[in-house]
Amino acid sequence: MREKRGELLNQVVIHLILIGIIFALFIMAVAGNVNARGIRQQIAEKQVALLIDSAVPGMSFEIREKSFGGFVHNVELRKGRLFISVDGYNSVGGYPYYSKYAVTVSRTDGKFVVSVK
Amino acid sequence: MICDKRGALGGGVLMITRLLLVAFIAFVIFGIASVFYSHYIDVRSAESVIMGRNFVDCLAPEGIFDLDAYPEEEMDKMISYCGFSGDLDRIFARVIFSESDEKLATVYQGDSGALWIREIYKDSGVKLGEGLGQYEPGYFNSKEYGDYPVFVLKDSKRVDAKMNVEVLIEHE
Repeated sequence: MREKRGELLNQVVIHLILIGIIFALFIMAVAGNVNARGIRQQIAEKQVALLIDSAVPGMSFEIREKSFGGFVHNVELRKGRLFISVDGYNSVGGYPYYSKYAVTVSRTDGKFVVSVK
Repeated sequence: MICDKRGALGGGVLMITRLLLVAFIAFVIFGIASVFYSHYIDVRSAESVIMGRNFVDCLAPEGIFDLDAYPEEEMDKMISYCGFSGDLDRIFARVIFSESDEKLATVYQGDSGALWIREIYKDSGVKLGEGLGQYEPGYFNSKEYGDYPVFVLKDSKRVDAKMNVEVLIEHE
């Protein structure tokens, strides 16, 4: 009888732990969205892509590491797409930009410099 | 003793099954949650305006379009002719030069079928949710603001004309 009660208690505890884990994961996922790292990353990519679209040769603009309400740890141009990572949130697909000029990115003194030549 | 071991083994299998079930439910919940909580920022309209201006600068610098110098085989490759590269599949651009009602030249690039998608969004009158609404293309037509007055050099003659620019940018 006691063994059965113990077994039941074990099962209940395990279930509670599992439910707890699910809730914790769910809350973390929702917190991530509320914290809006993804949105900040999206804003960063799209704003910079629009700047590149409208830039003419000789223009360059700086993206400080501490900007967009977070920490920009990478700016990259690959196959006509711009990838910006903000607060550890890495860009998956990037955002396309259109320029008929040569666009380069360099990193110096805590900032990224996008140059259009 | 043997029965106890079998029972313990059965309990373990049951536990793994439960764990998998819970993991599956969690996966479904997160999948649905990520769709509902994701927020899309649409800049395609701004993008289409910028690209429209870029095409004007490219085709009619100083307000003059030299039709005689424009290669015949590039009429349907206008974006590439202007030197733009990248993901051109999501852009449809068309520029029409006309004198009064007469078309002097049409240069374009991209799939004009994309205009139908925009028409569907525009005419349906149905307010689509954010999930589907993000697929509505960005669109710019200079007609809304007044076409650009330009000169067209045709057969070595300078003709007063209007330049209509239309740019449609699809979902990335």
